[in-house]
Amino acid sequence: MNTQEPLGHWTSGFGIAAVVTIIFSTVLTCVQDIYPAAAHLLVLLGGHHWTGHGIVDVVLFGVVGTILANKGVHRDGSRLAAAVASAAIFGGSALAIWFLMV
Amino acid sequence: MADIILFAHPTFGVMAILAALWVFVDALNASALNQTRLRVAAGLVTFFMISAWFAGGYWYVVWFPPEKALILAGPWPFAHDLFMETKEHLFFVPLILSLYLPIAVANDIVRNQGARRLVLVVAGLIVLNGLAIEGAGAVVNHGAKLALAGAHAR
Repeated sequence: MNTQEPLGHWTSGFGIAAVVTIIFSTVLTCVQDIYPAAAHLLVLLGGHHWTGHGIVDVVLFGVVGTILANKGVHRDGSRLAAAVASAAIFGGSALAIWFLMV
Repeated sequence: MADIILFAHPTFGVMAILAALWVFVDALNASALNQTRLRVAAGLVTFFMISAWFAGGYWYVVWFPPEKALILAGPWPFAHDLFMETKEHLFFVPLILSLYLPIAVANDIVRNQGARRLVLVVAGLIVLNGLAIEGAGAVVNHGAKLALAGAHAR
């Protein structure tokens, strides 16, 4: 029997964290291209801007996910799936358009 | 060593794509019988994607700069400016989704339709992003090849 009951707090929390991180990562890509200081901060963090970017993304995902999971958030699976898909489509499209323009 | 790392990173990427496709198909046919297999496959996605991240990252940071200069001076500078730049930053999307996939499959996706839909979307996005990144990698490779051919012809 299929149900639409809310997801557990870990799946909900980290699902929202994935959406937040994907959007943040896309924005960070553009910001570091516009502001060299931001790219320099990422270099200081990881030795290379790309390494620093990856570290920031993974840490953000882990921290936001843990906080939200511990707060006990519960979300509907279908809505969370739509949010994840929207964030990924936004991220991919925005990056391609950005690098076409710059 | 550089060649091993160069070939290892797309190989790990392909393995991650195949494992994600496996998750997708098993989630479509989710039953009490394939739950363990589905969770193993999701764990493999994470393992292979992290391996692709480390191998590709090491190659990109250590070995790519001279190749980048070569591509930019060659007939296909967009192989770097558009495809490599997009690929290297788009990679973080399937990376985050790969870290999330084992958490998503921990739900009861046999009974909960929403949970199953979430797993299908996450696994499907890893496959599609992975294929796009592999394709972009082929363009980068061809950009370097054309630049090398041009350099030899001169």
